Amino acid sequence: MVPLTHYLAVSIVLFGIGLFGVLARRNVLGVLMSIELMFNAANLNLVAFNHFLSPYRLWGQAFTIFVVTLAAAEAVVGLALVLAIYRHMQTVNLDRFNLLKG
Amino acid sequence: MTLQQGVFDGFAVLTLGSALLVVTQRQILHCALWLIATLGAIAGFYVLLGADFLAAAQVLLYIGGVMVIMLFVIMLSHVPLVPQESVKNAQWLPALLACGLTVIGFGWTIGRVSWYGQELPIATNRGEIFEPTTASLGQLLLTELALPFELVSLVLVAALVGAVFFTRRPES
Repeated sequence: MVPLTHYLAVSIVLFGIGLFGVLARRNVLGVLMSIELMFNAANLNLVAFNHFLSPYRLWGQAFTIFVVTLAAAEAVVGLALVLAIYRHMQTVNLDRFNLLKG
Repeated sequence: MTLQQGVFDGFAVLTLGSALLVVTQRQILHCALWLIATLGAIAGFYVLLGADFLAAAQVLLYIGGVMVIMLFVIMLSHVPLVPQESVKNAQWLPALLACGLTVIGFGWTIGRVSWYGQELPIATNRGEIFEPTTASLGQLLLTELALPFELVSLVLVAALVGAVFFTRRPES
């Protein structure tokens, strides 16, 4: 059986990749995708802990369902904002979103 | 090496490889397609962990829902498919450093802590005997987690209204 630490290792590397994407991508859509990667890393953690530490009470999995739902809501609102900004500025590059800069 | 370990390694390579491609590909459409591969591999991990309902929800909600919206937005915004300038911003080197430090720090902590301590129950052999999780998840959501369940439905309504509000065209 695969031990818990293997899942945690995959999860933390996935989280690191997502964090790098959030910090370093220029395209706002790329940043949103990297946020999804980080959500999934956290979800993998929750399910793995649930499976290994309290296998008969599924609180970790239920929490993951909430996270997935909120991620979907976040994606919908975020993408609507991206579309609205795109209509105004004709770009999706984050370093061009400087309308509020003095 | 057992079969389970082999499958785990395959899913791990698929997840991390496609996640790397998500953050490094130039074309944003390719990023979205690689993200679908990552999410599918995560669903595979859920199957390995015995979470059958979550694996199905992952495929239906993420791959079928979120990713379709994302592809819609990519196609609705007429950005050039191959960007002329760099896809990374000026701070990518410090960002890489910060991420490396985060991963090393967490990895060190994971290696240091003994997860099967006395305060935590030792895992039983649930992994060998598979039982469906849908019924117990549904019971949990409608009894102990009923209040967060209702709150999430409120959040979803707010998200729908917000999305419609932000994307409607101004009357002119």
